[in-house]
Amino acid sequence: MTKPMTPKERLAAVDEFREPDVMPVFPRIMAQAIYGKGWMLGDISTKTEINGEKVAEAFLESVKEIGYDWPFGGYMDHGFGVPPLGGTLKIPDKFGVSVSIDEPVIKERSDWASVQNKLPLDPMKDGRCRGTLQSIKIISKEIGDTHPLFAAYYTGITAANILFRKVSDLSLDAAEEPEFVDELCKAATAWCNDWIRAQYEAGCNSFCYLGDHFGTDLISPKMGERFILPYIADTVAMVKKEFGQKTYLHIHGNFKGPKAYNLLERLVKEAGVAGLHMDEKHDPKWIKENIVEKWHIPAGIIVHGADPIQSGPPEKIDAHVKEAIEAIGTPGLGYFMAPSCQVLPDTSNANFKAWVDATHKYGKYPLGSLKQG
Amino acid sequence: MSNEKITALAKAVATGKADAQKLAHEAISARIAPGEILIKALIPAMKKVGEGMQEEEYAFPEIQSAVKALQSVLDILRPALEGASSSTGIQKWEGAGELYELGGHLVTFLDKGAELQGYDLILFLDECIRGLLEQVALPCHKQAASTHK
Repeated sequence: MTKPMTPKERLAAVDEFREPDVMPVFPRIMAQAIYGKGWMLGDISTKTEINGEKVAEAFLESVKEIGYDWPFGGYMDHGFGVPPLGGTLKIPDKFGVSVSIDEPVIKERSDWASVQNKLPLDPMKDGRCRGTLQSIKIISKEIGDTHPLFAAYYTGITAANILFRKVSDLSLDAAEEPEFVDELCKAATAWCNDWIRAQYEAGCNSFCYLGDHFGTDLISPKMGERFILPYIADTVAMVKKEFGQKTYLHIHGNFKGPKAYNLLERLVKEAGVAGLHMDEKHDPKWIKENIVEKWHIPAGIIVHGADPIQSGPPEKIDAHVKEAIEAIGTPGLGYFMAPSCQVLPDTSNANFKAWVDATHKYGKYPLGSLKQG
Repeated sequence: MSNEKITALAKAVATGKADAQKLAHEAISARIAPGEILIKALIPAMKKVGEGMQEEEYAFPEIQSAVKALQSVLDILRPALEGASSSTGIQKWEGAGELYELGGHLVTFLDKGAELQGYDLILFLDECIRGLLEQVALPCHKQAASTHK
């Protein structure tokens, strides 16, 4: 009986195109770990503080109970950095709801001048960042030997949206005053880099995992070249230079068109993205043929969007996972299982675990061995 | 001369330029009929937007700014055409899908305006704007719905 690999060893195997023992699962888990514990977000977060000890308790229990491979070092949402800049957050009091921005930092373009006076923003001046760093320290101490803990955030226009400005306003800015958006992207990416540095210093021990929810869902490939590409490149270079780590990217949008595909290729070849996690618009076969086999980088496969994991039942999740893994065929090197975006906040632990268990069952290497008996 | 004004206005709307309303005022001053502005400038301008979406050139920002320019022109044409309407005959926007698909829907939808006249054309473009923006902003709504409820 071979000893099972640790999640860290599985990541190394996937990244190096070797066989892991089983296909690892990256749930990109955020608020679900809190709800899965039976808590509400108000139990771990206020508008200005996060309780790092409670977050660590919830996440450690989540990793242990669900058995997924690659966690974040703490609870992540879109509110980091916002309160010190004058924005306000809405902490939901209902189950399954994420923290949202109540009042953005920049309501009018003219607000930018006064916001600039508050930059650069020190993560340690944000009580929610401090709490998250505390949870990273605790989680790293507990499971850092066996689990990779990703540093994570957003760059470019996505970071500018989260940190400064509503999507619809930022989108119109991009058309009417792109130089203004350049400035926001630059400032938000500088914050992103400092926030990622702080996460590594607190105990993140593995790759950086960037997110981009603009992608080609909201902006054209041409705008992506301006508002996404250089900022991803900037953070990838910083992470490589200062921490010797690679960067994986989760990006939204359909990248099957020639211009979008060209942007994706540039993100890999020019910006240096080392692994990709697309959304539900890309089935496993497309990911295999257009990413993994074409550029020889690892990629996440998903199971028909987020819905099956969220809505279940476990038998349906099992069937979807089987189908997704069979679609990549053998030898199936360089793949991990991921949700379309994140394991949604109101996903039950039972469905979540069914997804992870099915991936470890059908994703046993050599792939197809289960079918052969 | 009137063709030049129509062409300039169509281009300003299609590319979301702030001077679209000014160009529309100039067209009206040059005695170009509001109906002609709608049919020869505004509908072709929005067709260009649809084509840009199909060609991966236009997304949320470009569409928003083109719609903003279009609305600024409709605002000044509206009083001149207000009155009789057969609004029951106005097509409903039913297009859905990804950006390139929506671009195709937009072009097809605009073809349905060919038979309309007067204030019906304004109502038709109002419906076009409503449907288009609702669909184009869907990724934001979906994200909000899935995580924010």
